[in-house]
Amino acid sequence: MLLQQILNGITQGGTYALVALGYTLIFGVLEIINMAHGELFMIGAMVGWALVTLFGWSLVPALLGGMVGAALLGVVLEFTALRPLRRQGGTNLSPLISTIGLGMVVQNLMVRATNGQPLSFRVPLSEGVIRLGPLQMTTAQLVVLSVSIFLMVALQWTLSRTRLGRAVRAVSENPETAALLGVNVSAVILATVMLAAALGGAAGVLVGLSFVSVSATMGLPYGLKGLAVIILGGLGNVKGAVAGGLIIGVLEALTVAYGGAGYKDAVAFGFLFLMLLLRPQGLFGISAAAVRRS
Amino acid sequence: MTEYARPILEVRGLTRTFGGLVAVSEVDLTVPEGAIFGLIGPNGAGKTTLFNLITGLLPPSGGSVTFAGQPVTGRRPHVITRLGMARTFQNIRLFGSLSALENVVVGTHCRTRSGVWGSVFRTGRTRAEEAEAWAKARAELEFVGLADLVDAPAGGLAYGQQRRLEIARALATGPRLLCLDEPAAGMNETESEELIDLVRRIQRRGISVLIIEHDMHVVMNLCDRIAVLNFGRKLAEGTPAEIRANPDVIEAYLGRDEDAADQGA
Amino acid sequence: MAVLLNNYYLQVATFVGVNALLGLSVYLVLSTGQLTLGNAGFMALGAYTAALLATKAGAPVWITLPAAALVPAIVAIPLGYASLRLRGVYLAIATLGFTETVRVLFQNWEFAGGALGIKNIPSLGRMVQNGLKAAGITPPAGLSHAQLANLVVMLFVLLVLGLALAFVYRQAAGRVGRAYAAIRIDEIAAEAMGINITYYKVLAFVQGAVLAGLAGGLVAHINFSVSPAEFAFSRAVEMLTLVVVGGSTTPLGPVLGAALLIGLSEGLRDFSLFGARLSDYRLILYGFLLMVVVALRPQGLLTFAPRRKGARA
Repeated sequence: MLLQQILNGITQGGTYALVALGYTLIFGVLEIINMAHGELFMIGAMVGWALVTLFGWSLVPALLGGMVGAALLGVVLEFTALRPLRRQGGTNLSPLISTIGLGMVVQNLMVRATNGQPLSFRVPLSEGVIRLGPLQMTTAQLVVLSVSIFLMVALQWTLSRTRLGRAVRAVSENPETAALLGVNVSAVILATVMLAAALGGAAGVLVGLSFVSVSATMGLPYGLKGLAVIILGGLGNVKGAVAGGLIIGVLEALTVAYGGAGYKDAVAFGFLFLMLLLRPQGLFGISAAAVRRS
Repeated sequence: MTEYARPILEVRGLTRTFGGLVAVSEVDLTVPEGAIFGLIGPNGAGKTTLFNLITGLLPPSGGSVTFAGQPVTGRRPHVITRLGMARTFQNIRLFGSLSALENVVVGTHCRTRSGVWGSVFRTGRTRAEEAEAWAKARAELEFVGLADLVDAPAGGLAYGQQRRLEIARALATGPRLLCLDEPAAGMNETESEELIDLVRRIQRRGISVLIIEHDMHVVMNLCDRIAVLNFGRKLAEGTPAEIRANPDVIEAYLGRDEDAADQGA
Repeated sequence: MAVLLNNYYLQVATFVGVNALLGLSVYLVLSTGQLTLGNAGFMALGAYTAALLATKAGAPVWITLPAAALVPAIVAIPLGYASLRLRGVYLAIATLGFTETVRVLFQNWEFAGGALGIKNIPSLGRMVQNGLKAAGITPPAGLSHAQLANLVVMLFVLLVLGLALAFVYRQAAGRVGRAYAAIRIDEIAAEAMGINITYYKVLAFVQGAVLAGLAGGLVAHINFSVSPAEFAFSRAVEMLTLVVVGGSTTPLGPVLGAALLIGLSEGLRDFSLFGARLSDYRLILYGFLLMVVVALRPQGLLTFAPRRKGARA
């Protein structure tokens, strides 16, 4: 039923939005796309899985653990793939290539570690189903949706009310000016990368919970969807990332219900190309001209 | 140059805002064909932004630009260059890893036509065109006085030589109007004199010149007409003598360039 | 002679040739300063075009291969135009999405065999072998028919590679190549000098698609089968690695990259280090190489010698 599908879509879309926000944050301060973001998502999921399955942790600590794990990988990312290239002052292509490389390394190390097999998540949640009138949600869906919303609100609060958030916004506007105003740009970049990674990691744990399994290759489809979302919403646009995530989530749910499950993944990409043709600045971007200039 | 000369460039009400900031506001300019037209003003007055609007690097928020009678407002830079307007950059944008000659020959791109087929199969027409292009590039290098630096990597040249190379490259596009953005920046007296001579020789070829400059000696001695910008608006326009005597201009420059009042007096 | 030309070495050499072609396809786009991850998708289009034409329509090789080169070009034009008029990062994202989309589409397309792909594609080696036998040719120097056939196939692939290299070199020396170089170094200055940067970026993109598609067609006829899994994102990263490591400023760079990396992986295929088979770690090595090369020697191993223009008329 339509409303039910929309609800399912919004829940899934919440995770897409979290992934997209990770891209958005890094694009904001560094003007690059972190092609290893999908792997940050995957590592978060893996750490969450390990904490739940091997150490018997409950949901919230496991979620936090996943976020911390992803953030640590974010630190590695910054110091191995990003910072050395900034010192060099090369083209915009170099960090893209470097993050692709790191993503490959991390993904394939995990493939070797898991022998290419998915790992199942013994979900520490009751199998309950909650009914809201004609609609229903599993407990897992409710958890995923509420955590997503909480994290998004927390991010918005951090960006607008804390010193760190203001520093991040300043560096996103103009790193040189921010430095002149006394902002420690390197530290802010590191913090932003960790924040972006943590959001991706959280999404990973949530997705692991939703589908009761994690795998070393789960980063790629979500990484790609995240990219489609930020194009839809507008590069570097926080509102756009959230709105785009929800839209793509709903459209996918509708495709599964009324089209064919196999083509679900093509929906996001189809939208991506459509946006590039018709409105490259995304839904919330300001002008098409802005995205044309180098 | 008579007062009735047809304008090569007409700018009407050109405006550009960035968010809430107005960089260029309602600027009108008319550059007569064959003239050397100067654009001066304090730092941050919007001169380079105006250049970028005229040459197509930046789309205007309002107003119009007409070049040789053709509307070019908001058109892509390569189209404008093909129509006959070339430029140099304030920060020098040479192709550093290419040689001086290679830099200039890139300028001939819009006056040549051979494509993939011609290059790969070395057709007669392509070979003739290539020979012509390289010859023209050599000629322009010689014109600006860099003939002996033909194969030198552009990135390794001295500052003054790089500025002249950029001019040679712009000349290779076969322009009717050459827009120079602070060509004398960082030059010593000898080099400035040579620059003045170079620009006069360019004018003698029938090319009009629009020049942004801070060096008042260059401006006052070179330009037929001058426009003054301040805070994005046109403050005054006239002959060098008129501009020198204009009280608003003097006030805008008060304390910035005290030599201006003494120059050429 | 027969020992040197054993089937294994011939196949490796053929494999290197095809990968050099793929690396060259990425090189073309990089030569305008753009990063594409879409050539795996174009390779898939080429491979499937050849496979479908050969198996469903019985088309001969001299039709399937050109078709394999043409179909990607048709797709590349709108994709390239939509992405390349925007900032560079959009192309990376769009081509990444493109490669994945192509893979997903083929995976779900029953007519093309779905996830299993297409099998029993007429192989070039078999065709040559049959031709030789029919013509009554006896292989010289103690080679078997199969060896001679593999030799011919290898030479054919190297011929295609040679032609592609000649094309790229000739183009680079002329007006189009100069436009590419100018755009790569400074596209704002290039545009100000009258170069239509979007047109040339799309041109390079389409040329890359043609080469990748052609390579795909060759692979289809050399490997007897194609399946969606061969053309995933990891394939795009492999192609990129060949160019980045081998040298991204000269057309011979991807050739060196292919020879080194493919040659090494094949040569060390059965080699074990600390009980781990090296071939399993190939992608990890590639990823690591990408990071290291980009940080320490971004132009890659092979760089070109500056051309002397003084001698030109």
